Amino acid sequence: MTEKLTLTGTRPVSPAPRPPRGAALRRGLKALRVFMRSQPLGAAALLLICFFVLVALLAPWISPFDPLEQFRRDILEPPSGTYPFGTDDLGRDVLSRTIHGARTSLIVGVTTTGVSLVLGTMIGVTSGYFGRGLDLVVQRVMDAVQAVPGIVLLLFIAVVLGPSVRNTIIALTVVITPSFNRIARAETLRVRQEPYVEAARATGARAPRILALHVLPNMLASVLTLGSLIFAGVIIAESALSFLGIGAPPPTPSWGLMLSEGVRYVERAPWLIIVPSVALSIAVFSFNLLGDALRDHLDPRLHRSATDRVTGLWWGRRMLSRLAPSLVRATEQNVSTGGAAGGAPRPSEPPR
Amino acid sequence: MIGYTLRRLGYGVVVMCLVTVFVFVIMRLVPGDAVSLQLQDTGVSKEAADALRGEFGLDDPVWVQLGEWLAGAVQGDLGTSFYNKEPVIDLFLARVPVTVQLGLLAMLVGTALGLTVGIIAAVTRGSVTDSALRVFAVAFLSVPNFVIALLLLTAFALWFAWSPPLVYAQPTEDFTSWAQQMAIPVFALGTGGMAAVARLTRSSMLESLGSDYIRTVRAKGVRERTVVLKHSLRNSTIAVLTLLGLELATVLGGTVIIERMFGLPGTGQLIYQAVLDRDYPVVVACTIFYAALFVITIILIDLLYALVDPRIRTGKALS
Amino acid sequence: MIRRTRLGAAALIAALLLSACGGGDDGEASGNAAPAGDPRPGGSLVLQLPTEIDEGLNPMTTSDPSTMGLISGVVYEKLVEYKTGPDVTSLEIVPDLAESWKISKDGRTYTFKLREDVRWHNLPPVNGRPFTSDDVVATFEALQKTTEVHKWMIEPVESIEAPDDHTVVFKLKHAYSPLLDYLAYHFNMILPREGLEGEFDMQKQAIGTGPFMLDKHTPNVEWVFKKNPDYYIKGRPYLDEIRRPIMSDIAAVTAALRSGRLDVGTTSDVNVARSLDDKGFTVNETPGAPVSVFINPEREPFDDPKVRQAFMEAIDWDGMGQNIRGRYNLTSLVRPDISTAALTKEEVLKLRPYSPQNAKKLLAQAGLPNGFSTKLMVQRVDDEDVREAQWMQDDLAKVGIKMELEMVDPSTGIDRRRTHDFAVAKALRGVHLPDQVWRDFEPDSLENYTQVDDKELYELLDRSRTELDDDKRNEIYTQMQIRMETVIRQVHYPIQKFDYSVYSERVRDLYDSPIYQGKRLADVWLSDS
Repeated sequence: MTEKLTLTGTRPVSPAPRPPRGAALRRGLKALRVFMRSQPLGAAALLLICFFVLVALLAPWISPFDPLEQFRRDILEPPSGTYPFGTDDLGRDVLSRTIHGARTSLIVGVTTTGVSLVLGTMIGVTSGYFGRGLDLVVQRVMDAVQAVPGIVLLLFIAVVLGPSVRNTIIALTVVITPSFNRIARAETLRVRQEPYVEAARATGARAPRILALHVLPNMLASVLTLGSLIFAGVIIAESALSFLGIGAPPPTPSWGLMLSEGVRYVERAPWLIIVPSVALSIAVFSFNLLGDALRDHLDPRLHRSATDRVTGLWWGRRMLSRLAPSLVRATEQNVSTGGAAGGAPRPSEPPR
Repeated sequence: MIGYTLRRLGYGVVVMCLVTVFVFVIMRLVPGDAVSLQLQDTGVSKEAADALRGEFGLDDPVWVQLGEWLAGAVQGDLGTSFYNKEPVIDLFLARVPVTVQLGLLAMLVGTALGLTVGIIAAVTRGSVTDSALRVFAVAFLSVPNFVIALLLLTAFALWFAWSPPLVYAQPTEDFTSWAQQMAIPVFALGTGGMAAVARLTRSSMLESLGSDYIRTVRAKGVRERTVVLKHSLRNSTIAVLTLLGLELATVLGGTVIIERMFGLPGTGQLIYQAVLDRDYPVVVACTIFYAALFVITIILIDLLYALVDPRIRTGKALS
Repeated sequence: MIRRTRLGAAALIAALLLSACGGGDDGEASGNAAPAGDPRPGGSLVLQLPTEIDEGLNPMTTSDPSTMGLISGVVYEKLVEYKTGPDVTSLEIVPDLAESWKISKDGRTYTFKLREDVRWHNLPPVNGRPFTSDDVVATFEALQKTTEVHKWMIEPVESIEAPDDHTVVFKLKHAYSPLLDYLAYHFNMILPREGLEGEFDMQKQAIGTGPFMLDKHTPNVEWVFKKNPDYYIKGRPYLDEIRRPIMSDIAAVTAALRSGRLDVGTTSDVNVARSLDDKGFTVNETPGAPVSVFINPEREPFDDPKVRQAFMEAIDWDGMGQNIRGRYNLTSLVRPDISTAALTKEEVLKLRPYSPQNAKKLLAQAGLPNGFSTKLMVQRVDDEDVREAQWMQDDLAKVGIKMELEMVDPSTGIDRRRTHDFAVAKALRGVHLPDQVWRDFEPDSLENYTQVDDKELYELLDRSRTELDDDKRNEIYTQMQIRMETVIRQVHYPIQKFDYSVYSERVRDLYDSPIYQGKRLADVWLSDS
């Protein structure tokens, strides 16, 4: 039985009527519709992404050949009726390998981004919310992980564990988690001070409930935006690792691997480098566009403008993810105290 | 303020310790060592190999090696490369300028391009040009930079029978050669940043140009150009500098492929080769150097914000 | 007004384009029809160096073959050398610093008569003094005192004496037929006494007797060598300078060759070589390292020789060479470019046929009718190594063997091979001489990855070392190969790859060398100098 706080004490209240089933789903779809209408580029990106996901899921059924099968009589064939994208230097069908490559990239991208997002957010939120000793220790460890240059970490892991798709995911997750941690923590710190959170605490709500109901929903926007941008980065990172030979091992069909294998045939068989490049670019591109559109759409107007204003003309997508928490925090405070940025104070936001 | 600064420095030290221990431990986990690598194809006996290992100190326990390294580091000696017996610090410092040049120039190119695209997009807001430019900017971001570099290199060689110089020359010694060698790598690295800058420029300009503050300034009769440049940009300076610092730290390690492709003797290549060669002193020193750079930058950022916002200093908002 | 300007501009552009085309054609035509002419001095040769030499230049402290390749025959010279030239097809030992030699009947005494007109480079502290037998003695005595490098090559040598300034006598414990080959090998350069005694740092500086002098080294950028003006062979070298930039990326090498910035580049990729061959470049096919396959009998099911046999017979090695390497040799353990003892392709195919049916039969006999799963540890040096592994994987799958690929970097690969931590391993084996090949399988050798332990093999090896007659020795080597292929079945070098040197048409008289023979650079000249 819940209780409502009044000036004279507490008064028992019957719990609020539960909304009809499926309301959440309907609300989600409505949000989606709004998004698609206000962000046409984002909508296009979303469609492209759906296309990729579909291709990746249906890969075994829609690819004309086995991506590993070597047709030794048809080595380095140009695109033709049998092989719409030609064959590679071992006689494998490039179209089939590209389709399965979508799978590899998607698996690596989704797993890496998903795990780092969840892990980083969990660490950042708990560390930011409970503060003090825990925060001190945990954040130093995260700092240490982030301080080691990415290439060193990735090389280490590839060499110690051996190159494989699984180890690529592990390596990239380790490198990326601190970024999610930072943004989650900064957002937590910001939200923690909000009146509605203090109110919830005052009514005796316990930490997990507060975190789940108040803190997390308000940081979802930033985290998701970062997620889509990171996803794009992960796909590119995987291709670079494969190019260096420390990513997905042959004969895995991976776009990055196909790229590095195709480099030497730039004149004889340009399709070997063009096809994976284009596929890679379109995939990364759609995630980038989606991220941009999400950021435009989800972030509250002034929140974004303050961030953008401070970061101004200098770039640093990665930097933004690292700094965003500090910047956001600092500029919010600036804005509300009428400091350097100058602008109207930001109204408190009730939880969505 | 003093307390805050000291706290930040203390944290920095803790982080550095963690990084050092981490690097030492992980080098031991990695199979193979420099001695095996050096002696391959020579038919050398096992005792000889072990003797060499002893010489390098590779068979001492981890903490002994760590201790010795720290003792040396405090005196400014970061160890000697297993391979060419050069002091690591010399190796590293010789290469830093190259990577810094690459990184800085790439940032400049990306910023310049991004600014142009962003300003045009903001001015033609809502039109086809705007959308087309945004797509163009993001497209460049989506192609891996080494692919761009590769395609450019091959295109120039095939169509114009031109390729960049093979040997790195200092810009002070031979500017033309240096410029020719850096042209393609800088462009390839810079296009990645272009999109982010364009995006931020565009939205920042749109916000600025429409805000109350700017409307007031305009009402005062200030020229449009001053409006844009002076008042909107003023806020950026702190963030600009801090972003620059962090960007540099990241760039120092992330340019491996491009460096190898164009024969640029930079730190990315150094550390990549050192890990493959199991050249422990170099790996350890480089990692710790980068980490230190990163930590120092973070500390500086935090201090800058503490200066700007007193609430941070008093530790109210965060630990 | 505007129209005329536009027309003018268009005409100008058209003219430029046409002249570019025309100029290109003219260039090509004149390039191909360049007069043969006589060798002439002058010019700078830009020769690619694939990786930096990290370990210093001192042959007494490093065993890196690329170091040797950089300076052997170029800066330093040896007692004897391998012949190179337009018609050389096998290894032949010719005089170098030693102008003649005599071997005693029992094979235990080698007397070398040294050239009398040789001087060291005119650099302090050696200052161009005459080369004497004293330097040879000092070199080999210093080698004997080392622990880490190639001293095993002269292991049976008891003493090295210099009865006079131009004679050196090697006394051996027993007859040792590979000695001359090892003396011609790129590792055994003759060093000046001053260097061996520490008067200059041989790690950083190389002062030799060779046709070129080390001029400059910019780490990770390039090495520069300048002509030795006092070289004892008059008129040589032709080149004024050799520049060796360090370039590891094949795309960059190709681009540089096309633009003319690079004169000579090497690659193991036949496709790159072929695409450049059509464009006015010369491609030299040089025999390279053998591909090595190690099967570890300590890992089941490879303890059964039938399984090892099935493994090798399931794979179409010949097809693999054709499709992936372009030019290759189907070999046993001895390289055909080095020794006539190498088994011919037909002989190899008889001992090791491509027969998937037989492979399946053998597996059934070994109790594995449905095949089995295993892992191949692939040491990745070139991309061809990786493609070959995939080819092998595909062939094995057809007989039921599911082989997973593990890519490792060289350091990990070496370590795991030495600790026998693999089931099957594939790499490239950088050995040349037959004796070197067998040395790998001796019990105390670090490179005995599969722990070969065969008494009969060792007996044959000992006999080969004391057999002075070349033909009889080759017979022994043949028997050893047959034994490895049919009885031991643990180590195979199924194909030998070729490397492709690509050079532009201005480079003349650059001949093959199977063993880092650097002295041939003294004969190279440029047609446009």
